[in-house]
Amino acid sequence: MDKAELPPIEKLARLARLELDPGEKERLGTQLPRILAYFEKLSEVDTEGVEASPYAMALKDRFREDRPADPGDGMLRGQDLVEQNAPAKEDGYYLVPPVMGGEEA
Amino acid sequence: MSLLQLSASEMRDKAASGEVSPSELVEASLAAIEAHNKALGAFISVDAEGALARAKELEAAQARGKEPGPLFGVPVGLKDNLCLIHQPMTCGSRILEGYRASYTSTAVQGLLDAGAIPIGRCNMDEFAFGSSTEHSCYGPTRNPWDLERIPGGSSGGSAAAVAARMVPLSLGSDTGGSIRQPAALCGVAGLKPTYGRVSRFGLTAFGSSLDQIGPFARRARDLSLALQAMAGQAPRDATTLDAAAFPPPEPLMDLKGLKVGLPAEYLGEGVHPSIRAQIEAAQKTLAQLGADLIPIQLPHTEYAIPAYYLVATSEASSNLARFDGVRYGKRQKAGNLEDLYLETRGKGFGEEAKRRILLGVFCLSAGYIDAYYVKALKVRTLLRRDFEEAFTKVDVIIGPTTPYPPFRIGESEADPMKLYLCDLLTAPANLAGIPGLSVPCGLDEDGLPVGLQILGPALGDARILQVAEAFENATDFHKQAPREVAP
Repeated sequence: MDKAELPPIEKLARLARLELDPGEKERLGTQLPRILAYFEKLSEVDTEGVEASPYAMALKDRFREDRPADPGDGMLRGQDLVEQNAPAKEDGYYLVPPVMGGEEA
Repeated sequence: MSLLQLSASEMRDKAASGEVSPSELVEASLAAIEAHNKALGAFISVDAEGALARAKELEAAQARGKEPGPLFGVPVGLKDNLCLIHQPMTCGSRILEGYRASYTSTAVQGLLDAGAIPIGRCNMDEFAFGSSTEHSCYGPTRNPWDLERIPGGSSGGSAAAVAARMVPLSLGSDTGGSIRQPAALCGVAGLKPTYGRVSRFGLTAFGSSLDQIGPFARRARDLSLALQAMAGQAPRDATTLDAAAFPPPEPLMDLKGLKVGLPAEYLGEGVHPSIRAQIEAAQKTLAQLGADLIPIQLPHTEYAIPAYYLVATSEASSNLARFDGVRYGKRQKAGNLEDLYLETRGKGFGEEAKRRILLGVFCLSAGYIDAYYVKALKVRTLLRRDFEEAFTKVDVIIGPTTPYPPFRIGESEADPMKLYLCDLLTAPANLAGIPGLSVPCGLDEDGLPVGLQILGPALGDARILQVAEAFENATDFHKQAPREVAP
């Protein structure tokens, strides 16, 4: 296993779309390398020729017709979803601030 | 005797025969929550009105001659990461403030169809990230046996609610031990079913290849009833198994001929002496019931924690990308879309959630994914083979559920690794997909509960529940209660 080179915490947080406050930056910035160093323990294990198991169980692909199914009662759909939960909405659509630039929304 | 000393199945039988009404059961449960929840923090919210209305509906249906279901009238607590349509679901996180579920999870629907009555939402570590239920934006849950200590986690509210006799049955979810570990530390029974037995549809995803929904109760029989109500191949979860349905097993009179594996790695140096003593006593009990105790080895156990945390944080970072403040939840104001994501997630997630998302994002990043995530998946294969090999020699495996007694609240704050190591004996079952449960097996020197873990092969849920029931019938540990609520 290659030795981990953790990017600066600010860069990692940006990639994860997380704003961190100064205290978090300091704490996470020191803890993450230590946790990662512990993960390095796995390099002791010889995994040559061992297959990876993304799932523990042997799963079968299950197919169905590519047609909209009636979700039945008890499931909101379409604009009802927008109505119930959207933090900002207009005419049944989700509202978001401009993708680039823009004023405080 | 208070109604709340009854098990779920006893409550159901009394309600079905008309000896008590579902309304009386709900009222008893609400009164107990009123009396103890302030001190314990087991419930985030209680739906008294909804529960009483549902009790009335059940009574009306019974009066019309409808056959009472297997959980008829039983009040249940739901971990707050399970959807119930139109009801709030917070996952213990600020980011889901104001959210209302747009559908009902398959598992909860199963309980509803069986006649159960959801009473309220149980506290949890934010998004199930933790082993202590200290990481909830609604404050910690406290252990009913000692209010200064953690109840375990992440389903700590569900465990404490059953331990404190607020409800006889509750649901949790187990990704690396989040049902079994709090069950052990609160002195109740808790089951993580085989992966694929219970649909995860409507469970907020943490580690999709590890998560399973399961019940807490004081009796193994109640765990079986709840599993029966929830299990089954389900169209909305493609990972449910063909053989997922679960008929509850017949009780065993004894354990003659049962081969019980004792892994050397599960009673190693890291295990607290007073926990070791209770587990050795439990081994003797099983031997007296006729079981053969067979030493075995699970040689990759020491790699389970790094493998588990790599897989779990990788999956979590991907699953939590959906919380962006666009479609639901608490949105922060921002001038453009990227700042909206940064601000919403930065203010909405707590520090443990951030820690795990950052770890996962790094482990999945280009250049590191093979060294971390894929390496962990290979070690996962070896851990699974350890169990497959062991189950060619034995029927079940036993050991402690937790390596040490519950920490004091705040004790592990400065050192997250200390908390991660709590999952040492439970995470292997999630990586391997096998079923596991914890049953009370005594008190340690400080009077705190100790849990016996019983693991079975894939789809061996019935077998471990039979062993748990036989153990219960031979012991009185399931009758022990925290002082405040003792019968």
